[in-house]
Amino acid sequence: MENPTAAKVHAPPGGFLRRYVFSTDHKVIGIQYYLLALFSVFLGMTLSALMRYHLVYPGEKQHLFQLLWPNGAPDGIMTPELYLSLMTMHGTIMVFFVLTTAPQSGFGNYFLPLQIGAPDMAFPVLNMLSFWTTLLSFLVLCSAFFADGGAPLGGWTAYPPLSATGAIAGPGMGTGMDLWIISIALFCVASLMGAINFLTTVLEMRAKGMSLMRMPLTCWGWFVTAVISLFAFAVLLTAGILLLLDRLGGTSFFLPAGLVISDRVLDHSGGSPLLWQHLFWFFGHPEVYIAILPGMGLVSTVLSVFSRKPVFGYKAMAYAMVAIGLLGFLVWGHHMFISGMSPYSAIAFSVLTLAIGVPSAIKTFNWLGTIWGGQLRLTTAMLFALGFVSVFVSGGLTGLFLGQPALDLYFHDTYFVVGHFHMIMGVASIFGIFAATFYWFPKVTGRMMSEPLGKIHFYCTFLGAYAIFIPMHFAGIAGNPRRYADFTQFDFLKDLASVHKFITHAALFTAVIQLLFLWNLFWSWRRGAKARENPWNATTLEWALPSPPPAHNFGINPPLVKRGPYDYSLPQGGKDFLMQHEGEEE
Amino acid sequence: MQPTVRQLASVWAALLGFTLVEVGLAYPHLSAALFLIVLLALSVGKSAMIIGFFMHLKFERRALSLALFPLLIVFILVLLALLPDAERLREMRF
Amino acid sequence: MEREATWEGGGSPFAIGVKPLGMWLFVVSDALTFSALLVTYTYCRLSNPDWPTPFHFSPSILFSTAMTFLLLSSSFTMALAVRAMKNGRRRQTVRMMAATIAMGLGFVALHLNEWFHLMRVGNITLTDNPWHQPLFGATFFGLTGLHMVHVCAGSIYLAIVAAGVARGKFGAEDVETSGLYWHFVDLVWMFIFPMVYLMSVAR
Repeated sequence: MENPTAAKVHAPPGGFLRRYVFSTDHKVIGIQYYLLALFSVFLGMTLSALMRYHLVYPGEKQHLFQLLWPNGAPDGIMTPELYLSLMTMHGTIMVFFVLTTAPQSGFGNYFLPLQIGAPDMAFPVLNMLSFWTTLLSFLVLCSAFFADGGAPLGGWTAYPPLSATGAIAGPGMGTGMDLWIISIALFCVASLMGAINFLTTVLEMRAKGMSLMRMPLTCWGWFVTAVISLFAFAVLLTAGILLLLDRLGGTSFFLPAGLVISDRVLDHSGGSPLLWQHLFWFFGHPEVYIAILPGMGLVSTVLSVFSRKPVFGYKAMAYAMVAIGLLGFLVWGHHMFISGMSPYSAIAFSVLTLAIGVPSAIKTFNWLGTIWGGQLRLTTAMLFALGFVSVFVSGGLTGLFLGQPALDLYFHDTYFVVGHFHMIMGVASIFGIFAATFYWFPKVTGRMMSEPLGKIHFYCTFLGAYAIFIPMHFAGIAGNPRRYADFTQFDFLKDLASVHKFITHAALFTAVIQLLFLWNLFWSWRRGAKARENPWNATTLEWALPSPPPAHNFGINPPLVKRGPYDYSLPQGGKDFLMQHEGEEE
Repeated sequence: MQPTVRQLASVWAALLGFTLVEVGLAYPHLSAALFLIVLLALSVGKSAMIIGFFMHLKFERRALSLALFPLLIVFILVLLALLPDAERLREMRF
Repeated sequence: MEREATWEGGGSPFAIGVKPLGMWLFVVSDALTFSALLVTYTYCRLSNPDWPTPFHFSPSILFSTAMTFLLLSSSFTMALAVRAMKNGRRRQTVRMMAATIAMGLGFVALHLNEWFHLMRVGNITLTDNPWHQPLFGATFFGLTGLHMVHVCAGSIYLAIVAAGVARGKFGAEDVETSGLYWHFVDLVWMFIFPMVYLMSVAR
């Protein structure tokens, strides 16, 4: 067997297409993934803004709606079906093409090989293939907007029986739903290819001296996430194939006997919608950790760099990630407490769910331990990392309520759940992405992002996120159901109208503020101040390379790693840190 | 290290033999549960032979098996948590 | 070998190349895909007590036993091909891989024959059957269909690798990697055969 690290050094390919479009360079692919996620996040955010507008002004005619969806908003007023289709697309785009794509495939692709001193990913061509499959999957999903009947109405969970019966279940449940499933199946394949690549790279391509326990915690995050993807998407693929068979082949996996939909009796029998819920959530819950674990790794690094202190309890942090990844597979039933599932399994799922609190608390306390007594530098990256810890705690605490079957009976399908998962899965992961963007931007582009603009963006986004999602918890406690297009006609929700108005205004404000980030990103790319090789005085290997790094990374001489990733606050004069390849063997 | 032709041939013969035993067991009318358990036990045995010799995992480092299989086995067992619901469903239906 | 003995990163902890390791990871993932499908099948069967058991010794079981033998033998020749390639015997490798592909295609031919027999004579289709238990056909064709897709893909994959070996383009590691895939497809059948066929023997 040849040494895999030595054999794969390549020169930059010539030609625009080979270099920037059909590239096998992990750095280019990482940027491609990031740009896809950036486009997706603005698309998804626009959809949510339209939904929020409709929720508080349900009777107001908007010419824009009519222009965009002549069938969905015939007289300028959104139909409930259009609202549901926007919700479905918002959820699907955000979960798959933003939260799964940017932290893992985007940043992971760019920085994993750099941080472990590898020349590229283990399978560069497979890497390119997985990006193009992801893009294809995204295009298939977006084409559902233009399909006959429009986008599907099933939500990102696509619960049968309605998702399995075809067009009689509503507009968009015909071709639109088919396209949705095909898109998800393609995404599964792309993610499996990515996971295999990440795992092989971490296991086989580390530079000499880079033992697992010397890897930066970001690499641990990507590694555990890849393990989760390898198993979770495998099961989602099965579920997707079966749902597609039900729709196109006429089988009854998820369809019981005696169904009446749109006044028609369906000729199916024997199946069970509960089976889909099991298979879907076997994937769906680990998916939450796919979104958050890379952020956890990144935040650990950023907090350490800008506190000038080693990460508190490195090993505990790494093991906590592994524990979260493993436990994440044992708790999916907590999404199904009121589904009619066996109540005995509900108890087991509840106990295991609460057990995830233990590694999560280890991480939180270690983050606090890391910044305790440090020399804090409140750069934008650091602010977003601190914001991550904050929303992670606020979002995590409400999880303790939802993990109790007795409380979940009441909270299930209310705005309490919407507030909870947006906090912990949405905002926390997005804050991780923001922190990573500000932290690594100098390495990727060779220029610094604007700090003043970044800080304004952070404070507005931080306050905006809390202003949107905390009131949702109160609406949920008041019994406000989710996924309703209009609740003005319910008496018991009348008093919440002002709360929802507040939420909508906060959401629109936060959405507009994101343009500031977009401006900062593209302006700094062209005009930002020049960045040094290691502007943050960080220790990990990517900062040993010029900014931006050359096509072949470290060339044929990968660095010899001599120490762990967080050697800060060293006592000797001058530099207060040692990079991983510097100094004496530890 | 790799398996010898002799080893491979005897594994092949053993696999064919196990298969015949399985087919033979289909006719004494065992109870469904017992039959399933016996069949799965034989299948696991056959898989072990295929993995160990044909996929020559037996000749690789122990670390590879430890990295690949424990999680897979745990997750397959975890999936069995679906089956109590199937039982409940049957009771509710009939 | 010394480098591996002092390994501290910068090498391979499992002492296998990236290609076989990647294939092993794929196999593990695909194993869970099939496991989920088999659990689905068990779920459907458990929740429907009037599950049909239509297979008789002749022709169904005889036929599927022959298919099992064919697949097991193809795995044996594939193992021989991997071994031959490690010993640098290219021509023997290509011969053994050709035999493997032939048996794989034979398996597919027998299987399709069986499918059409069931559909035409037994009136068992994807959606219906004489016992009005639609999930019987759905699980049967779903499971065996996904497996057959794997066999077909594997035959194409092996053909590409064999052609590459004949032209001197591919080495021992590539043959080994394709072998891992083929043995896995064989392994999956070791669970489908008893669970789908033998558990449905008519009594």
